[in-house]
Amino acid sequence: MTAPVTPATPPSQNPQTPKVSQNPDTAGSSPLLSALRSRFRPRLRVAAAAVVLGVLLLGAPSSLDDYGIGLLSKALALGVLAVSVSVLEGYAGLPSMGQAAPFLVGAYTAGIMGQHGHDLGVVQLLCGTATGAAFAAGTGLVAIRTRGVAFLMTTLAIGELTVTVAGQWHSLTGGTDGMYGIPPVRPLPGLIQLDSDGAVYWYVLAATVVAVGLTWRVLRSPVGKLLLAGRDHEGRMRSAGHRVAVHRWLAYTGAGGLAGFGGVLMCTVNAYVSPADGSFATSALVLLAVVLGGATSPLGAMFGAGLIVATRDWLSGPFPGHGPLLLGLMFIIAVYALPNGVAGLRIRLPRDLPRDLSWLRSRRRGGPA
Amino acid sequence: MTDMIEVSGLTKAFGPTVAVADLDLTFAAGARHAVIGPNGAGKTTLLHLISGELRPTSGRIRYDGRDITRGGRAKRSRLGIARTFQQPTVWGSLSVSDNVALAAWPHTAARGAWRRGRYRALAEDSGRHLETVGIAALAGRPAGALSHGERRMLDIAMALAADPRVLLLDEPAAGLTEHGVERLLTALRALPPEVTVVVVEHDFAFVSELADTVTVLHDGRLLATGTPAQITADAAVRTAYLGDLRDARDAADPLDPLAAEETA
Repeated sequence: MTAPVTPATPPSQNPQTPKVSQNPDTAGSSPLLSALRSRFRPRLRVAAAAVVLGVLLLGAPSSLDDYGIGLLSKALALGVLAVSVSVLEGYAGLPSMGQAAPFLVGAYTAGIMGQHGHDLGVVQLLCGTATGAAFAAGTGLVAIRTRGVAFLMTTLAIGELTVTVAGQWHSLTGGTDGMYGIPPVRPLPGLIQLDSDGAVYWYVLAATVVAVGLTWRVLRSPVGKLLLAGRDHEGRMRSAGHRVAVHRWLAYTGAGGLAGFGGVLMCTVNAYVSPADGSFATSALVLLAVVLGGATSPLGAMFGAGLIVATRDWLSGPFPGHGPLLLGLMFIIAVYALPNGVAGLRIRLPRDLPRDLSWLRSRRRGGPA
Repeated sequence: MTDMIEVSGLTKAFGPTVAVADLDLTFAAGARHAVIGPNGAGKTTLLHLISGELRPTSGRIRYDGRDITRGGRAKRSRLGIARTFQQPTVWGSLSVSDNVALAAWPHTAARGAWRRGRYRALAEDSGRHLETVGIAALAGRPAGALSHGERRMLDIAMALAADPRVLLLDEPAAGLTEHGVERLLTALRALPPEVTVVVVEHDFAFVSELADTVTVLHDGRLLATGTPAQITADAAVRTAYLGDLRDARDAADPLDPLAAEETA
């Protein structure tokens, strides 16, 4: 009401209000340059992050030994899991402590398929995604009835139960000894089996790009807004007529599918699955990776997972046995230095950016972490 | 006129406190019906019960002839009952126009709003409602950055976007500037005549501008129902309402504007 009212002008054509978050295509009669800038600014930021990450991931194999490449592949698989947690925590407002459970289900799916001669990577990925999603669809019926700490505890219980079942069900999973002798996969029909760490890495990287890209696209669509609104104020969503419980269940199921996808990749990298892959430690680390990366940013979550693997398994090389200590130190530093996560990092640009970015910043902060 | 909303024997108790006590009340289709009463009279609780925010302890609520007592609030909203809140609630991390588009989403006939194209149409249509309440210039702002008054206007625009048959307004004029109140009145007068408006309000001047029927609640019970003129003349109302208001906000006679209108 304090703002000037311009009755005859559609809002999309008002030069004072570049539409940053939605409908960038309708930035109409404003000066061309600022329209372009406002249209591409969010994409530019994501693109910049993607380029940095892409250069790192594409350039890394040439400068790493086999162990390093294996770690990087592992980080990618964990990164997919981290993205699924960031969907739940950052968008749906559901901080899960048991997302390693569908991850484990996906990993076992791939392991069992591999042992029975189904070594096609694409088929394993699809089946692992399906079982992960089905698992989440079932457990979600219980989990999404709770909120906040209760959700944390429920998902923790689901995760622990899954690990226990995996350890007891010898005939299917090989019990706590784990599942050995899983043959390498053939990515696509007509291709040969992946015979080196480098080949596995490229396969995992390609699969990760597809999965994260798809997730990003879904989150950028109106579906992402639906989830964010439900996280912001669930009651208002109900009052507006939205079936919030259905949205949450779908988000939980989708995130379960994504975690299953990550599990398949983990199985491919390790050629081995054991209940420990889905342990509480995995869930907790990944949740922390998401906090590190910035809750509403898939790329940030990937980066957080990379940081964790790097700290725990690589940086700790010179300090054997002190991986957890290093992780702890990193978290303390991260919490103080990057309260909004890696994705909350902003490089100060000289021109008129602050006003628009300031709200993006507050938007990133939203997660219940 | 037919009854749009009919509550019978409606009771809501919070522990030993009875907020709404055995209330029988009807809201006629197309009415501009105000519910007034001192603080704690159960006005907001009544709105919560009708919109489904609260479940009644006992009693029934009928909407357009059907019993909705057991329906959830999302279902009631989709049936055509929209509302605003005393503390205007919006989705802070989304833009103003996204807020309106999301509020309109469940009520649009077009299927598949999750597709970009359909959603874009919703977002463009939101401008209409933002203009009605006078915040069209803020369409691209994040809703979390709005002032209190702007937020209230957005809350109202979101309710209008649902294309409601019944509009429940909880103290819509509170915290608005004079200009804002005028704009709100214009917007409400511009509503289609068949829309039923139920407004809970302290500001009697606002009520007398808008309402054709006034109901007075006191301690969760019905004190009186009638035209604004009848209510002003009611002695019981004056004692109950005035006594409380003098304590609460040290106001001058809140029925004054009405009284003045009558003598004029």
